[in-house]
Amino acid sequence: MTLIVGGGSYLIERSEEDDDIELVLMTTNLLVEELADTLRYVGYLDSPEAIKEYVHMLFVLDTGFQLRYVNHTVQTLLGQESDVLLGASFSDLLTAESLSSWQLIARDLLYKDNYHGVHDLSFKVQGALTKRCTCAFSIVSIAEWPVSFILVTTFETSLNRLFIEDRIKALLASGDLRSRVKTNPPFKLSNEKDVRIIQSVRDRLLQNISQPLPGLRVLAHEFGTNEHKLKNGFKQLYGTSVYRFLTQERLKRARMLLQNTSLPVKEIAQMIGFKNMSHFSKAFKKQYGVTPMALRK
Amino acid sequence: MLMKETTYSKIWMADGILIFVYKPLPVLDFSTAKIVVNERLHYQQDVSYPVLCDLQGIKDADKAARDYLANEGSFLLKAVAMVDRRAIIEALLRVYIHRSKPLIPTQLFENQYEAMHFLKSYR
Repeated sequence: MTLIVGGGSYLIERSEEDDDIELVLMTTNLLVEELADTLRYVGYLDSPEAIKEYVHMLFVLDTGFQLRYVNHTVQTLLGQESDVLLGASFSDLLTAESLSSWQLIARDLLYKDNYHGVHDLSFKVQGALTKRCTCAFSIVSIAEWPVSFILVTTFETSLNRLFIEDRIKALLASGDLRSRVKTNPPFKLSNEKDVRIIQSVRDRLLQNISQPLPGLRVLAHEFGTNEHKLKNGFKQLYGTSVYRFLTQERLKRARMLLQNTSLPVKEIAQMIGFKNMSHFSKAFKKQYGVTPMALRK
Repeated sequence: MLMKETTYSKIWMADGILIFVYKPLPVLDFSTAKIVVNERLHYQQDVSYPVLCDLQGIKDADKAARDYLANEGSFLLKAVAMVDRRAIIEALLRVYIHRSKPLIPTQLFENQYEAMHFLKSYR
């Protein structure tokens, strides 16, 4: 039941076995992951700014990694009361798989000045479930305070409609609702077929990343839609224009090649589909804040 | 090229094919996947290869890692032949191919001989 109402937050803990039961557990986890993504996706269709990120769980640890404070979300999500949690070791909350990662993080927290890092860890949840979270770790030292402590926060993305109720309440309270209704509604793809077309365009772009982009009208026609739907639908689904998406993907590849190979910069630029060096360099600097040559060094 | 041991794998060349063997790893997550890809690119430098990828060390791979490997994980690769006999991995690969949509030809084999045979046409 927890899996179903969790909305994709929880996964079933896996074992080393390779039997039919394990296969069913794995398939269930795969379904949960897809469901979580679909929920986010549906939320995105509802509104142009559907995804919100917010701090979810908050832990305060002492420098011995014992829990000294947990917020209410920790208790509800992990299914433990605070008197059970406080005084326990942070490692007691983690699955066996995450312990070696935690050991490395703990070492860095102790030995690196002003450490701040972000890592994925899995927490144990009541009922042999696990919850995988992206955790931010910081060591906090304040001059006037005699002791340092460690702040651990997890954050979660959520559907905008969970926040819409608060927004509507605030608007109602301010009496402003009527004036806002008159603004133009944002573009929305109206059916599943159009959504699939846009997804196919994205897949095609990724598969042919270094090829020149055909005009949007030609591309739209090839996929059975029109330029208006392609342009606005792509923006609605992926939050960016077709052209910007292509540039971002090309630059992502360029960055990986620059950092991990010794291919000449000019060759990388050509490989990924930039026509000239100065265009590549400018776009790269705009995206990453440094020129390709500077990154190389 | 000699065998290279990286954080999460062992890599070497055989017959113009890159051999990539994962070390035991409970969960392949997004941050691990990034390191895996970066270390592989470091090894390859400029050249694109078909790759034989032994998955026997992997127990699970989360969606973020799968999506990353399907896209960025395909850089400088011509095709990938995964090797594993487990039913759970077969299920995982099917979801990987249909949902993460890897950019390069991807197939699962039960042994390295069939995998190498598949990859030879991509050299």
